[in-house]
Amino acid sequence: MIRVEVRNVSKRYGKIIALDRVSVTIEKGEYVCVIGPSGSGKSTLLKIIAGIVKPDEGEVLFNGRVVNEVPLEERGIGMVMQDILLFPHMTVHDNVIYSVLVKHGSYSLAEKVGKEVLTDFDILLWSDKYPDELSRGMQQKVAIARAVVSGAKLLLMDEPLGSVDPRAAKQLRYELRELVKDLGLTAIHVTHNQEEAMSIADKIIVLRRGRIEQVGTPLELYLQPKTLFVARFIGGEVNFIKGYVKNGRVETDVGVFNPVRRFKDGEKVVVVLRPEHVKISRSRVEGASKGKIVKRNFLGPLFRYEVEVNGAKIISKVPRNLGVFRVGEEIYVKFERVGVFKYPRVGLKEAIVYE
Amino acid sequence: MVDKLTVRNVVKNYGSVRALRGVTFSVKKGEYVCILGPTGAGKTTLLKTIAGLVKPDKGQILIDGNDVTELPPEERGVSYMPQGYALFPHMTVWENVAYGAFVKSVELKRAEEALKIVGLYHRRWSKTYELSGGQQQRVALARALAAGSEIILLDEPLSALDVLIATELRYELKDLARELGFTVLHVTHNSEEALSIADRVIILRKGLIQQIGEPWEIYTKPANLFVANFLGEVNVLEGTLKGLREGASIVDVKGFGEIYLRSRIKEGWHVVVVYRSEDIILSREPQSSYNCFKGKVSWREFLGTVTRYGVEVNGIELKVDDYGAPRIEPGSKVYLYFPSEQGFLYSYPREGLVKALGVE
Repeated sequence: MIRVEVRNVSKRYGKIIALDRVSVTIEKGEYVCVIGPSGSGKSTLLKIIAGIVKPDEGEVLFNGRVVNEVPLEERGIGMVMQDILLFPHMTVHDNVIYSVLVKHGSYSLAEKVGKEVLTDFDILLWSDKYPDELSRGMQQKVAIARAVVSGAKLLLMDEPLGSVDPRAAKQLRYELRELVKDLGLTAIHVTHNQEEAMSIADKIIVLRRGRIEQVGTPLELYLQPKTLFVARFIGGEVNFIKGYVKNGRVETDVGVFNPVRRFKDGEKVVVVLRPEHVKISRSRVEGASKGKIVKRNFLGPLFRYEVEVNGAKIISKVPRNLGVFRVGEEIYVKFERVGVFKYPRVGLKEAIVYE
Repeated sequence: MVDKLTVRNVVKNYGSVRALRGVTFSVKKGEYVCILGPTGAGKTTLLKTIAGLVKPDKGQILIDGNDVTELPPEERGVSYMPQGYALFPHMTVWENVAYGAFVKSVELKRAEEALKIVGLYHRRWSKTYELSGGQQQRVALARALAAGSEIILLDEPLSALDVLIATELRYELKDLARELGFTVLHVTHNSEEALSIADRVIILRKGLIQQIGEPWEIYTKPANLFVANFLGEVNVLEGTLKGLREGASIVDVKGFGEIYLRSRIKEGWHVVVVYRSEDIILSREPQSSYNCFKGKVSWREFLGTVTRYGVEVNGIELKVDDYGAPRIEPGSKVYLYFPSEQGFLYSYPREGLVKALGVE
C-alpha cells in the first residue's frame, strides 16, 4: 500500500493556473475521490501524482519518499481513464495478462496472475470475449483489472465511470470500491459526480479553480461545509438566504436563526438551508414560520416543494411517505439545521458559481 | 378537443433490429411528456419519427388531427433538438438562435426571449466554440425554443450537463414550456428527471411502451417488474402466493416467512414481491407483529438526503433507505418492517428475473 503526500504543488499552463499550492495527504488503503467542476485542476492533480505531468513547484511523496524524479512506470501505479483503452483485437484474457507478459516475459507467470485477477474481478467467464462484445461497464471492469494486474499498489482513476451507462455505473461503483478494498490498494478517483463520490469515498477532496476548498469525509462535507461553494456542490440542491446579525441572532426573510459561530452585530451573512432540513407541517409548531406551497415536483422517494415565506422562496424536500401537500396550501416551515456564513466579499453569486 | 399529437401503431425496423414495435399514444396541447427508457429502447427513433427525420415502416403520426406521416420535417410545425448540439460553430450565439426563427419566419423577439430564458443573452456575441459544453447545450435549447413551433422534441436535453446544473435547469425548462404553451416530448434515461417535471411519463423498453401515466401513478403503481426497477432502487423477493385474507395477499417468501400485501395478482402462485428501498422501515426494535423481520446491518453509505443500509435477513441482502444521517452501525441487529400497502406483487416472470428486470 502507498501513502501519498502532495506538498505545496503548483502547476501553470501558460497564463492558466491549474493548481495553486495544493497540499493533501492520502493514507494507505484509503479510497479518495477528487471532485470539482471542469477546469478545477482535478485531472492535473492526478497526472502529477502519476508522474505524467511535472509540477512547477512542490513535491509528491510516496511512503515518505520524494518521487518527483521517478518516472511513471517505476511508481507502482495502475491507471484507468474515462476512455476505455483496451486492445480491440485481443480477448479479455489477453488484454489483462498483456502487461505482465511484457514486464516479466514469462507466459506461465502471466497466466497465473491473470487468472487470479480475472477471478478476483469475477470476470473469468468473459475471458474469451473481445472488448466489443462487452458493454461499456464491463469493458471498464476489464480495464481496471488490467491496471492492477502487474502488482500496482496505487490505483489512479480519471472519471472511470464517465462513459458507462448511468444505471450500470451506479452498480459498478460499489464493485469498484469493494475490489480496491479487497486488493488492499490505495485509490484516487477523479469525478465530477458528487453523488458518486459521496457513496464510495472514505475521503473527498473538493477542488475549485486549482485550490482545495475542503478535504473531509462525505458526512463532514455535507454537515460542515467550510465554504459556500462546498455547501452548494455537495449533497444536491440547497437554499441560500441573505440575512443580518442582530443581538447575536441572524434575521432573514424566512425566520430568525441562532448561529453556532459568533458574528458581529450588523454583519451581513448567508444562511445555508438544505431542502431536506426544511420541515413542513399543517399545524403550528414552536419556532416555525408561516408559508405557502407555490410549486410541487415529484422526485419518486421525495416531493420537492417551493415554499413562499415572507416573499422569499425556499425549497423543501419531504419523503413521499410523510404526507403530501397541495399547491396553494398554507403551511408552517421549520428549519432543522442551518449553516451560517459570512457574506462573501466577492458576492454570493461569484462565491458559488459552478465554473 | 383534438389531441395535439397522436402516434398510432408506429413500427420501425433497422434491418433485424426492431426499434419500434407498435407504439401508440396521444399528447394533449400544452402537455409535457417525458419518454423514459434505457439505452436502445427506441426513444430517439420515436422522436425522429415524429420530427419526420425517420419514416416509419407502419403507422401514422397525426398533428392537430391531420396525418403528417408523409410531410417533410419543415412542414410539420415541430422543433427537434438532437442529442449533442448541432450548432454552427462559426456563427455567434445570436446567429445560431435567430437562425431557427429566421427559417420559420417568426419574430426575432422570440430569439431574444429564448436567450434570456437560458441565461445566455449576455453572451449573444460570442462564438459558440468559446462556450462550455453546458452553455452550448443551452444555446441549442434556445434555438429550438425560438423556432416558434408548438411542438418541441428534446432528445436528452440535459444529459451533457453537470448534474448540479442539469437539476436546476430542468425546472426552468418545464416552467418555460408551460409559460409559452409548448407541447413537449422530452427523452431521457434519468428517472428522477422524468418524474420531477413530466405531466405524464411514457416508459419505453425494446420498442414497446411498458406504461403511460402520471409520475405518481407509475411510481406507486408500476405495471411490471421492469418499470418498478427502472424508476428506483428496489428489493425483489421470490415467493409463493398462499392465499388471501381480509383482502390481503399472503406470500410465503423464501428466507423470510409470510408477508401480507395489499397488492394482488390475477392468477398463479409463483410470485415476486417488490419493495422500494425507501418503503422498508428500519428500526432497532420490532415495529409490528407481522411483516417484520430480524436482520443485521452489513454495510451502509451516506448519500446526503438518505443513508442507504445493506441489511441481511437469513442470507438475503436488502437495500433500505433511511432519511437523514447514519444512525445505526454496521454489525447491529435491526428489524425491517414491510408496510403491507407499499409492496408490489407480480407473477414470477416467464423469462426469468434477470431478463425481466434488465436495464440493458
